[in-house]
Amino acid sequence: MGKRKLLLSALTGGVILGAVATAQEQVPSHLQELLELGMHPGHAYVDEGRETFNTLKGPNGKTCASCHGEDGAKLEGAYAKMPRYYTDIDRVADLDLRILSCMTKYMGFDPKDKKFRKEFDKWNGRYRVPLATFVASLSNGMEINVKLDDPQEKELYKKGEELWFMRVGARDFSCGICHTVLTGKRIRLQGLPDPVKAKVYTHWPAYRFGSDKMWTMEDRVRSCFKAYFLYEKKWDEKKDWVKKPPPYSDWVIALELYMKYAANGGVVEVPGLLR
Amino acid sequence: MKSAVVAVAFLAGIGLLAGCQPAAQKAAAPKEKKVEPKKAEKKKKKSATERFRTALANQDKWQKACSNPNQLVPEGIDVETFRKEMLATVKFPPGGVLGKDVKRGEKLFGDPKKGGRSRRGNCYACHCGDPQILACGNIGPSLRGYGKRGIDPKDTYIKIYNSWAVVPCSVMPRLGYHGVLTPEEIADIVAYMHDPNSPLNK
Amino acid sequence: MARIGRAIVRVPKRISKGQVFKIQMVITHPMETGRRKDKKTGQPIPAHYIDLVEFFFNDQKITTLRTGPAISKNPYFAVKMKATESGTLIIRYKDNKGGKWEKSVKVSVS
Repeated sequence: MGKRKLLLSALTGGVILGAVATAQEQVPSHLQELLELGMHPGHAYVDEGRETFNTLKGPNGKTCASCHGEDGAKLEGAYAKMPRYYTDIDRVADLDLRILSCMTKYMGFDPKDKKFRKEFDKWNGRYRVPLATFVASLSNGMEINVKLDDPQEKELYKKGEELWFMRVGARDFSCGICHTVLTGKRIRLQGLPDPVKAKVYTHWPAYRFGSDKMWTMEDRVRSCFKAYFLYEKKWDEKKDWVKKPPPYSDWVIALELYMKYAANGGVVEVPGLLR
Repeated sequence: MKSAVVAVAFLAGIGLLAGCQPAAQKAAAPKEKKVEPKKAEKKKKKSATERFRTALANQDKWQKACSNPNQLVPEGIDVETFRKEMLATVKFPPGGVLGKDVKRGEKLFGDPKKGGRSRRGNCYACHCGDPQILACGNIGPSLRGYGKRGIDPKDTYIKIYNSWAVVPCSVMPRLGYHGVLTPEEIADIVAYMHDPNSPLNK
Repeated sequence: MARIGRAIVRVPKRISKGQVFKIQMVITHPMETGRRKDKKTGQPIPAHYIDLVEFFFNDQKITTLRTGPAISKNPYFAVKMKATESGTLIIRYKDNKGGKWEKSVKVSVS
């Protein structure tokens, strides 16, 4: 009985292990069908984003569509070029930051309003994630083309590359250790992709099926830092733990720029689907 | 008494929110790499940006040597010196490298309970061991049958405490060196790994 | 679940009169069977699943799906139909906890 049980669990284990590979993170077969159909819950966020884009009125009465055209007509292909330098905020911005700055500068939302910021920042809020997914989908079928023309872009790219290989924290991790050196191996049952070589950015923002979470690359990068075990003074002190970099900070955008530039030439296929 | 506690908690909450403000403003402000103006005050809560910057600045000189694109070969320190310096940091527990509590060793080895300090060992993230546990990683070699390989427990201890004393710039975290595991805890893990009766060695 | 009851509907763009075509639909829904136990509390998670999906074309009901908890999370449904004129396809679906939704899609037949 014990032997049979072991064999059965080994078989299921083998099937699970077999399904875990790299590339668009090869998803299990039942999800592969949804992905091929182009009908997975991530698409519900695109629809929601389109609705928000066309109908959400800011305090000054404008909607996103007022400037960017109905259904985002003027934003087609914009995502394929981001992150990039924007003169009006004098910073290199990724999608999340750009949406925030647009809403606060041109739609009248108050950047100091804590309630708005909280709703904007949270991963299941009604502004950032649906809008980001929708705007990203407007570049579907187009090649990623991130340029490093502006000096700030060049500098941020260098910073991103440096940060990618920087070993720090109580586990001596860096992005590169798991995602460059150990590509193809697994942490428990999760395969490790190489976002740089595999041009993973072509399918981000992505929907993670198992935890029902739609997230942008900003969410993903920030979440990765939780594994680093970063601390202020000593790792032993819980109050010293530094879990994530602040949202829309240069550290996060630098890494996004580094990965997106590596995906140049890849075709945008958003939203992606993860297990 | 209760109202006093509530008042203190309320004030602390305000303090926290006030502390969060600068981060929110900073995110919308341009060029946040510039040094912030000195806040002339008593103990004010640091912004998320400052805390993260401090966290990154904690990189020690050996981590810096391993931060080159190769990641596994130290740059700027020669390999033998690197190993010697890392070996010098290893602290042994008073009871010796073989702990007494094998059960605790097993828990620290495999228990993936989330949160707080109980996530410390998490060895199955990268290694396989007990054949009953299928959700194991393949980053490091399988530790099945470890106790039968004739390895000196002292070497096992050193490897767990500071893996960079054995393989400079190794992928394996320096669990003891960083305080993720205490010397006594490592001793228990070593005992679990060398115990001929543990499921690891069956 | 973050978004429950959102429907993604796919209808072919070019449909000719009398042609049989497929309506594809995915609904975001946890489809809890009621038998799963919460890992932390050990209590069973209450059943929460879509129990009725109705398709109407130009106000005429074309099919009813009486679904149950055996269907997995974020279910995919496909229904075939024939149309001789353009119109509006309305899909009404509800779950056992009182959630009620409707999705309408334009169908053009040439």
